[in-house]
Amino acid sequence: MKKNILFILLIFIFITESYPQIQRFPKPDFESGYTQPGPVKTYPRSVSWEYVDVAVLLIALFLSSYFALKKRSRKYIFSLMIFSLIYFGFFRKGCVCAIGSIQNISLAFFDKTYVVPLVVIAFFTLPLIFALFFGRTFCAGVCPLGAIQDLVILKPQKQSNRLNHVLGLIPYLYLGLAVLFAATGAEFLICRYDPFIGFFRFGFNQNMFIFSTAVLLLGVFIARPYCRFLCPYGVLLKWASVLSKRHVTITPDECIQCHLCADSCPFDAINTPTPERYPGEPDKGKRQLILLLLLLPLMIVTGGWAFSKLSVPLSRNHYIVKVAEQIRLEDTGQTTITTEFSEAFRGTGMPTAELYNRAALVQSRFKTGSWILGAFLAVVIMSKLINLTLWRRRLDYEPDKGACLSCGRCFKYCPKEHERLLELKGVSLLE
Amino acid sequence: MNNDKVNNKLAVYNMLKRTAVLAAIFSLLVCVFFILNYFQLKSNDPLNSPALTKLYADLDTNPNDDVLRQQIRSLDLLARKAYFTKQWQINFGGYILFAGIVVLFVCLKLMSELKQKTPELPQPVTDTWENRLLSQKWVMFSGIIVLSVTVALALLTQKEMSAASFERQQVKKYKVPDEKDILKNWPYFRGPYTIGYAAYSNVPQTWDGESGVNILWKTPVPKPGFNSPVFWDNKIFLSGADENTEEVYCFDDNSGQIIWQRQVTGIPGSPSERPDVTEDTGYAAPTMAVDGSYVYAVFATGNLVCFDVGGNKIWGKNLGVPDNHYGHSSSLIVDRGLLLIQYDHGNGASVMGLDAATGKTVWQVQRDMGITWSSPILVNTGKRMELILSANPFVVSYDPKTGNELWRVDCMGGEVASSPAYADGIVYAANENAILAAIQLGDTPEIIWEHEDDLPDASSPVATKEYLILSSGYGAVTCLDAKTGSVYWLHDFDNGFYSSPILVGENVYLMDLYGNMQIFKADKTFSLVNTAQLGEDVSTIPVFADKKIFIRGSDNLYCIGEK
Amino acid sequence: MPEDKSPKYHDRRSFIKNGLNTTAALALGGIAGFTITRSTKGDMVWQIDPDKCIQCEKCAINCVLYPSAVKCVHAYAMCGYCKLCGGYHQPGTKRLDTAAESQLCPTNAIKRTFVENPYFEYTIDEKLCIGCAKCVKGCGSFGNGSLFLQVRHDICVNCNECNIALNCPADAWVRVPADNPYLFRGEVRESPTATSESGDV
Repeated sequence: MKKNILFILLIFIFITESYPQIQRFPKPDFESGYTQPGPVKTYPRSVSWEYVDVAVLLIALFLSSYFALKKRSRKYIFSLMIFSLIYFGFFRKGCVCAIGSIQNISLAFFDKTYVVPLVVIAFFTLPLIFALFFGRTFCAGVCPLGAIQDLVILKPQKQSNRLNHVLGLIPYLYLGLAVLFAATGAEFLICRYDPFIGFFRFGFNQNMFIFSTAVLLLGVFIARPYCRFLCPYGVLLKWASVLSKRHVTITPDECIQCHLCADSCPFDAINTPTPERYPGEPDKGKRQLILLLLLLPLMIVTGGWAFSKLSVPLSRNHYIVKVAEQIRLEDTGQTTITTEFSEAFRGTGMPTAELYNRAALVQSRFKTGSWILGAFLAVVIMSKLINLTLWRRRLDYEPDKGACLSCGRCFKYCPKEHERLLELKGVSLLE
Repeated sequence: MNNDKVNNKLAVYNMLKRTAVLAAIFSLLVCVFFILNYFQLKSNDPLNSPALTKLYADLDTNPNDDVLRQQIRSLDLLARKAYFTKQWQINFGGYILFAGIVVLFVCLKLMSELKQKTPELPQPVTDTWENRLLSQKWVMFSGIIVLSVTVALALLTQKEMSAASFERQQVKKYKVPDEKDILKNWPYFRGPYTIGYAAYSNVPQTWDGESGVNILWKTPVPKPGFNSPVFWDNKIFLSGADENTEEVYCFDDNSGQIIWQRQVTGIPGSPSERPDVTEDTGYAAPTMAVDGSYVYAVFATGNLVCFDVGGNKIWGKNLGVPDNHYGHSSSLIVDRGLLLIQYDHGNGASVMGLDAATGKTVWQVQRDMGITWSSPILVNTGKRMELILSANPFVVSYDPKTGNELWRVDCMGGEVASSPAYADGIVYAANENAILAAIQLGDTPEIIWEHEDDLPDASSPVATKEYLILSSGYGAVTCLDAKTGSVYWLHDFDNGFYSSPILVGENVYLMDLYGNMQIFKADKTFSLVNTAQLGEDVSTIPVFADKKIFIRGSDNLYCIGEK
Repeated sequence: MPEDKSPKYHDRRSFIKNGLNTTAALALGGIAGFTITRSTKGDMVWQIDPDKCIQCEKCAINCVLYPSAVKCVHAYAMCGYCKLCGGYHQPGTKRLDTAAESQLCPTNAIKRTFVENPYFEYTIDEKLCIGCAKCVKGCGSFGNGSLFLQVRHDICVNCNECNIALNCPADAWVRVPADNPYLFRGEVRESPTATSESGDV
C-alpha cells in the first residue's frame, strides 16, 4: 500500500516535471468524429543486429588469425580485409569500432550514470584477447580503418628508425588524451577526429574533409599512417601483441639469413639481426640503464606536474566548464554579449553557484587526470629509452611483435615459404 | 610471342594509366565542386535568404500588397528548389566522388602490379648500436620538447587560466524560513504580515534629520528607486535602477555600510531597450522580498533576479517586458518556498508562483484584469492562507500553493495602485476614483459596506479589528469603524501620502511625501503623538525592526534609533 | 641453432612472458567484468530532451547526415488544433491561409488540414523536414509546445560521438535505450536526465 502511494507520488512528480509549460489552449472536443493520430515512432534496427556484428567480428578475428598464422596467405587476408571494409566500414558506417570503444569503456569506469552496451564491451575486448594469443591480426584483416589505408599503399617509403621511434610516441599521447576526455565526460576525441568515418558515410563533417583527404593521400607514401602514428587502440594491441603466445613469422621454417625480406615490410616492422658482441663498453650501457631507472621517478613527478598545469585549459572542452566560464563573464559584467550556451543554462533555473561547483568538480577531475596523463607519458618515454638501452642478441630477421600488423606481405619474400608452398603442391625440392 | 605479351602488357598499362588520370581529374573536379557547394551553402543558404526576409518585412508593413505576396511565393519556391537540388547534389556527389576515387586506386594498384620488377636484392642490414643511440637521442629530445612546450604553455596561460578556474564554494542551501523568523524581520513591502503591521513597538517616536537626533546613520543609495527597504538578520536590502543599469544593494544595519552591491546582468530575454516609465514610478518601484536564504528583486524591464543573502547570484529570468505606462510596481512576496508575483500588465495579466530556489514556474494563472500597480497581500483567513489581489475590476483571492482561484468580488475600478488591507475576516480594498469596499469573507464573500471619500491613490490602508485608516494623496487621513464604515474622524495634514500607514503597537506611523513622520493613535478620536522630521522626501514605507527604523529617502537610507 | 641462448635463459624469458600474458588477460577480464556491471544488453541511442531544447537550429546543420536525422515531431495529444498556429504561421501574418507567405516552415514540411470549425490538424512531412526548429520555437512560444525535435532512429546512424550533441548549447542530448528511444512530450517517463553526459558521478 505504502509502495503504491510512493509510486503514484513519483509519477506525479514526473508528470509535473515533464509539463514545465502551461497548456495555453485546451484540447478541443471534436464533434465530427475526428480521431487523433497517435505519435509516430520509428525504431533503430533491432538489437539482434548488434549480436550479428559481434558474431561477424568474432569470425573475422578467427579467420584473420587463421589466415596469417596457419594458412600464411596474403591473398586470403586481403580478401578478408576487403570484406571487413565493406561490412564494418560501409555497411555499418564505422560505428561502433574497437578504437572508439576505448572511450565508452573509460566513461563507464568514471560515470556511474553511463551505461555501456554489451556490444561495445565485446568490440573492445575481443581484438585484444586475440592479440594476446595471435598478435595484431585485428589490424591485418578486421579493422576497417586499417583496410582503407592498406588499399592506398602505392609507393611506401621507408622511414628511419629514429623517426619511427619518435612518431611512435604520438599514439600514447592521443590515447592518454582520449581517455582523459572520455573519463571526465568532456567528449569523445577519437570519434570526433576519426579521419575515415566521412568516407564510410559518404558525408563529411565539413571541417574534417581536408584532414581526411590528407591522411589518405599521405597513406600513399607512408603506409598506414593512422595505424602507426595515431591509432590509440594500436597502443593496447601493441602491448598485447608483444606478449602474444604465438605470432606471425616471416619464414615458415628457420631463417636462413638471406635478407631477402629486409625491404618487404612497408611498416618498418622487421627487426634485423644484431652484431655478435655487445658493442662498446658493457659498463657504459649498464651505467646508462641504472641512471635511467633512477631518473624514472623524477621524470614521473615532473611529467605529472607539468601536465597538471594544463588541466584548466584542457577542462575547457567540458560543457560545464564552458558554460560556467561564460556565465561568470556575464555575471561579473566582463561581457554583455550572451551566448546560446548561457541563455540555455539560465533557462534551466540551476543556481549559478551550483554550476560553479560542478565546474570546480570537473576541473579537479581534470587536474588528477592530467597529472596521471603526464606521469603516463613520462613512463612511456622512459621505457622507450630503457628499451633502447637493453641489448638483446638477435640472429634472425623477424617481425617486431609490437609493430607487426600481421598483414602477410613478407611471406612471399622468403625462399623457405616458396619451398613450403611447393611442398604443399607435392613438389619435392630434394630431387 | 613473348614480344606480343610485352606489347599487350604495355597497352593495358597505358590504358590503366589513362583511366587513372581521367579518374583523378574527375575526382578532383567533384572535390572542387563539393567544396564550392559547401561554401556557397554557408554564405548563401537559400532557406535563409536575406531577400526573402526583406520581402516578409515589407509584407508586414503592407499586408494588402498582392504583388508582394506573389513575389514572396515565387522566391520561396525558388529557394526551396535550390535547397533541395543542393541537398541532392551533395548526397549524390558523395557517391560519385567515391566511385572516382575507387577507380583511381584500382587503376594505380593494377599499374603497380604490372610494373612490378624483380626486386633487387636488398643490402643486409643489421641493427647497430649507433643506430639505437641516435634513436635514443631523438626520443629524448622529443620528450624534452613535449615537456618544455607543456611548461611554456602553462606559464604563458597562467594568468588567464587562474581566472578561468573554479573553486568549490559553500552554497547556502535554500531553506524555507520559520514563521518565527519571518516575524522577527521585515521581509516584505508592508511588513512581515504583508498588511502594514509592525512586529516591534519599541521604536523611537522622535528624531530629527537636520540636527541628527536619533539618526544612527545615513548612507547614500547609489541608484534611485521607489521600492521600500526589506530587512533580514542585520541586513537591509533594496534595489535601484536607472535607464542603463539595475542594481541590488545590501546594507549592514549597524554601520550602514554597503555590504554588497550587484549589477543585474546576464538575464536571458532582458530587453535591449528599456520600456518607458514615468518619473514618479521609475525603473525600480517594486519592493524586494527576502526569506533568509535568498533575496528577490523585480524591475520595470520584467527582469527578475535572485541573490543569496551573501550576494551570489542564484538565478534570473525575464518575465516578459511588462506593458505598463507608468512602470511595473507590484511588490514581491515569498511564501514557503514560492515566490508570488502579481504581474498585471497590458499584454497578458497574470499571477504566478515560482520555485524560490530555482525560479522555475510552479503555477501561473492568466488574469482578465487591467494594468495594476498594487501589491498582493498574503493572509491567514482562519482556515487557509489566501493571496489577495486588488485590481481593475476584481478583488480576487488565490490559493498561494496552487494558484487556484478561491473567490472574486467585482468592486474595483480605475488605475489600482492601493493594496488591500485585512483584519478579522474582512478584506478592505480601496482606490481613488473608485470605492472603498469592505468584503466580509465567508462561503460567498460579500461587500458589507462601502465608502467613497478621501480614498488613497498610491498608499494602502491599514485595518485593525475596530478601525480602518486611510491616507490620501493630498493629505487627508480618515479613520473609519472597521465593521460599519462610519467615519470616526478625518484629519487634514499639510502634505500628501505615497507611503502607507503602519500599525506599530497602538500607534500608527505614517510618512508624508516630504519626510515628516506623523505618529498618531489608532483610536476613535484623533490624537497626534508626534511629528518627526527626516528632512528628505520619502515615498517608501519604513522598516520597523527591533529598536530601529530604516527609512529610504529620495537619496539616502536612514537608520533611526535611540542613541 | 641459437647455441648461445642457453635453454635456461630461454625458459626464464618465456616464463616471464607467459606470466605477463596471463596478467594482461586477467586485467582485460577485469576491465570487461567491471564494465559489464554497468552495461545494458541492448544498444544506447541518442535523443533530444525536448524540455531542455532551445531551438537553436544547430541540429539542422551539425548532423553528419544531410539532411539531418533530427526531425520535428508532433504530439497530437497536446495540440490545441488552433486556427492560428504559432508553429505553422509566419509571425504577424494577417491571413490564416496556406499560402507560402503565410507559412513559417522554410521547406513547406507542415501540412494543414481542416478538421472542423475552428480546428485544424497539422502534420509534419518528415521527408521535407530539415530539423531547423523554427516551428518548434513558434509552437513553444505561442502554443502548447506540442511540436518538438526528436532524432528519427530509422535515419540516425548512431555515431558513438554525436556531432550535434557535441555542439548542443543546452546539453539537451542524452543517450537512451534503443528499445525505448523517444522522449515525447506529454508522455510520462522516468527521470529524463538519468543518462546525461555531463559526467556526474
